[in-house]
Amino acid sequence: MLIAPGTGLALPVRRGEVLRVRQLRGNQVVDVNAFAMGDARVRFGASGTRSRAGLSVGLGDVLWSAAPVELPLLTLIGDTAGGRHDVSHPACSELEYRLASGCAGHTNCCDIQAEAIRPWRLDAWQVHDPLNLWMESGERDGALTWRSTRTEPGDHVELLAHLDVLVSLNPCGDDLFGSSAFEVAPVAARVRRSTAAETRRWLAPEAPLLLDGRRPRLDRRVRPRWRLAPLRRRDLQVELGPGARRRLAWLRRDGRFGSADGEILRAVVWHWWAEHHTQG
Amino acid sequence: MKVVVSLSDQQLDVLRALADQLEPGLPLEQLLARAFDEHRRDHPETSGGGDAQS
Repeated sequence: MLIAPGTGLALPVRRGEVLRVRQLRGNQVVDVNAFAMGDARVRFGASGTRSRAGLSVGLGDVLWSAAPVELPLLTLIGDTAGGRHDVSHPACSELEYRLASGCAGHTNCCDIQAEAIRPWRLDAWQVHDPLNLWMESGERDGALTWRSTRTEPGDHVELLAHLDVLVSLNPCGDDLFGSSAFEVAPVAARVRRSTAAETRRWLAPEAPLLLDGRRPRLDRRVRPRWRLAPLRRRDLQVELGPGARRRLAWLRRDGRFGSADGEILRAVVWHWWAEHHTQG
Repeated sequence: MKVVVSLSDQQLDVLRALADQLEPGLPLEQLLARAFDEHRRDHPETSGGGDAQS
């Protein structure tokens, strides 16, 4: 299943199944929420997971639900890029972009997640702090930092479900701060059965969920409204001054801005904007 | 030299608002060229390429 920029997808993953999330362009951060299918109040708890695994999770780490019912929901059992994945930063929000840019209505993970789960009779109040795939968090002088994991098309992570869960995914809506190379790209998701070896190695003992809260139920009459999808693009031809070729070559060697001239110029513009013109 | 850069509508909205604020009527192409020059001034080639992450 393809998840287009500006949209999200909520899909059930049964106990013993594996969700694979795959890069199509590369360098795309993906936000993840998760709810128990037996009771939507049982949902991913970033802080409890963080206290057990650290600021980011890696291969073999468990994603736990939040108290009062702390259960293993998913385990990261595959990661072709070998990175770590943030459980410390909140989902990006409309306010964050509006404060920084002065412009309203930017694509953001909070709104996209709320729309993705709406057909399952869940709403914005149930969107919670996410797992941010391919974004690694750290700490510097007491402040949280982040950096994106470099990924190529085809790179993927796999999450094994320990109980029936509804997983909601979206390509992060950020194209201003560089978490996804300044362009929101599609990603793909699919679900498969785990192998016997994976089950033996990773699957937690079954924990019956004896609760009576609301279960996510798909209402096919409800369609998500993707306010900004498809994300339209426009090409601008920019005349650069003397020395530009040498400068671009230097930035290309630096490696952090991309490889194509247009990609490098776009990254430079948003770095310049962040350094001099953000408002918040 | 000329470089083609691809931007989303929402990125263009932010840049248009900034251009109007800096110099009403400033074409976006000129704003981008100015950004490139100022970034070079801020991050000369003897330094690192600039903070690529937050």
